[in-house]
Amino acid sequence: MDALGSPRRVAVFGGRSEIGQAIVHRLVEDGTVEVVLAVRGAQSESGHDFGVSVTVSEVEYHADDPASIPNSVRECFNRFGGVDVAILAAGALGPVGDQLDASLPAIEALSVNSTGASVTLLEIAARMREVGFGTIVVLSSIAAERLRPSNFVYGASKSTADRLALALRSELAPAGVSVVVVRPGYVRTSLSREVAEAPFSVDADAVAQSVQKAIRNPRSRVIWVPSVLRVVGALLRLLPAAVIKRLDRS
Amino acid sequence: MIQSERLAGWGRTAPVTVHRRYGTTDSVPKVIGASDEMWLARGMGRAYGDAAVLAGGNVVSLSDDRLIIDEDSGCAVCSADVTIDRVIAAAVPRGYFVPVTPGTRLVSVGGAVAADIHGKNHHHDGTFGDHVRWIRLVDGSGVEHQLLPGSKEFEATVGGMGLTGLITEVCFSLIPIVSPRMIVDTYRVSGLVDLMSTMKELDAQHRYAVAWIDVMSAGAGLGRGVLTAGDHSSESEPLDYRSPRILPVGRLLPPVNLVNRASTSAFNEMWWRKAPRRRIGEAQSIPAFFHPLDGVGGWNRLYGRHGFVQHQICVPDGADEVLHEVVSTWSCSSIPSSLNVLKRFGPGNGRPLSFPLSGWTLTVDVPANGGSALRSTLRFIDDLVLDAGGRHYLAKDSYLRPAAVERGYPELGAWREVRNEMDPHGRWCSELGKRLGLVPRQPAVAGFA
Repeated sequence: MDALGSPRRVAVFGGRSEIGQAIVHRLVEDGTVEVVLAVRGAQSESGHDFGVSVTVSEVEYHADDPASIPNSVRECFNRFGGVDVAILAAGALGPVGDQLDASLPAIEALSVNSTGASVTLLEIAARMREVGFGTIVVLSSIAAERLRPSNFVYGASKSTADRLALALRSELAPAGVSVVVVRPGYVRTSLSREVAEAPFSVDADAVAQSVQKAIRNPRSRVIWVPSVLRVVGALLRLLPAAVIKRLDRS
Repeated sequence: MIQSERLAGWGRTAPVTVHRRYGTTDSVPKVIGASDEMWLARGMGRAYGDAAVLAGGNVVSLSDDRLIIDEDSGCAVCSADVTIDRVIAAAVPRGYFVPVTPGTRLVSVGGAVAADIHGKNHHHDGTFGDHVRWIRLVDGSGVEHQLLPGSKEFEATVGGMGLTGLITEVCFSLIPIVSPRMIVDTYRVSGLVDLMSTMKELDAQHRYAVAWIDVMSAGAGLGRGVLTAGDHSSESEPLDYRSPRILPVGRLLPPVNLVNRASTSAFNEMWWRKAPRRRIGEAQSIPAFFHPLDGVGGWNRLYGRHGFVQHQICVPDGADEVLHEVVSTWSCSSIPSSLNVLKRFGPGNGRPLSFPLSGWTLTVDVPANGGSALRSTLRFIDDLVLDAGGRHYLAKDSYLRPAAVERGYPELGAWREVRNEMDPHGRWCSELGKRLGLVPRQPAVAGFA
């Protein structure tokens, strides 16, 4: 981070995430010049273009393979001599509907959103604590706040990293590291295209704008996109399961 | 002794955690020679940005405190940790003064060399590095060398921001004086055009000259200021000197930013009006003339927990209109600022990373929490300055990107080559060096790879 709170080096874990890339585009406006994209099938020359003044590099990252994650995180931090902002954007949608079997999508969602994201988060936290600065952005979801029958695997898997991030806030604060948990509702991306659009839906740039604002004034916080979802989330927490089920089917 | 510590620059922005080490010139080279970790020297921590911090790395401070004033040859030989304050206190009673002092005497001699500091007498005496006779420096392998002016290693080290190695000892010339007093002329000037023309006139007549400038004033009063020009008194008198006490005001301040538009406007108005329209030949003490801010210990805490940015640029001769535009830009912005300085530079010394260029230098302090207004104002001003062939002072910088330094310092490539020869394994590093691409890319934390 520089004196103005602008991140110079940004790493996106799950670098092909549309939301992750939208955040990078926003951060470039604030002076980000070095970007590491942690992706599956990393290329020596990244095809991503965030502007003429930005150097983009790719690092091999398999969010569904926890054993390989520490190496990937280390490589991301070493690529530009450190990371100012780490964006945890890897995600898998999981099964759509109320299937109960351990289908491949369910396994993938649990593995990527839960185990992979948590391991990545812990590795990033350890490195940032050592150097005493940095911001971790965890792309969570309103689904992590209150599980719904229609996407309970996704919600449950997202809630693991969400809760871990909340717990890390107090651990990392004395070291000068902040954690931003982002809980959007329905975000219009290619990943979510198969799911019916929900109320309060936004596009990726709306999420990016909110994250940009949070990073400019670094302190640990939970942000909802759009902000009205904070109220919706609070209401959902209070509703009985039967009502949630009925709402989910309507 | 090693301890983990949170450190920032004098601007108190972007703190990081470092491994803090203290040692002497006898012990430190051995430790560095046996180490494969990253190192950085830190003196008094008066660089405003991230020049003296290294996240997760070893930040070493020397504690030798050796100083010899050689009255016969008129030079001082000291360990790098000795402060300008201590040199002045030892030299003045012997009839000497430091060749160059910045606005604070609380900088180390090692830091003075590393930043190639300038003072109110740059138009007359050049930078501190211009008076250095030799330097002893520990390179990246832990080997100590003596560097002489003219060698490429010396030229890269003076102004090299501590990235060529650890400066352990310095020999520099002093200037003779016969009195501990300064004879000072003060002028209150009502606008930028008058301020600049008066400064040009006074430069030829005085060894020291500097102006406080109000960059918040507008209209006819745009760039009004108070100009002080002085010389050492030529009347022989007892050479008494004692470092004045520092009031620990900073620690008493609340942890909030007290610098806002209302407080700075009021301060600027008061400061300008309290200055005499014209006062000639006033006797002032050395601290009063050179180091007025040192009386207020911890004044950097005025800006609260977000800290502040000191923006110092220089624009070359022939680009006076750019300076006008820079001052106008500050004036039009809503950014509060009081501690601002305008000064003329004499010719530069040609060292690759030495800041001064023949022309004007403007220093403006602003709270770092200015948000997008501050960001866009700085971006606009920086483009103006770089387009005009100007540059930024690295000892003050805390936010620039590599492209700005590449443009401002055309010899940067040559400097990098010498630096890499002196430190092939990249042991010497700083956050400034990483941010501006001055050093090769390193692993994030040594020993963590």
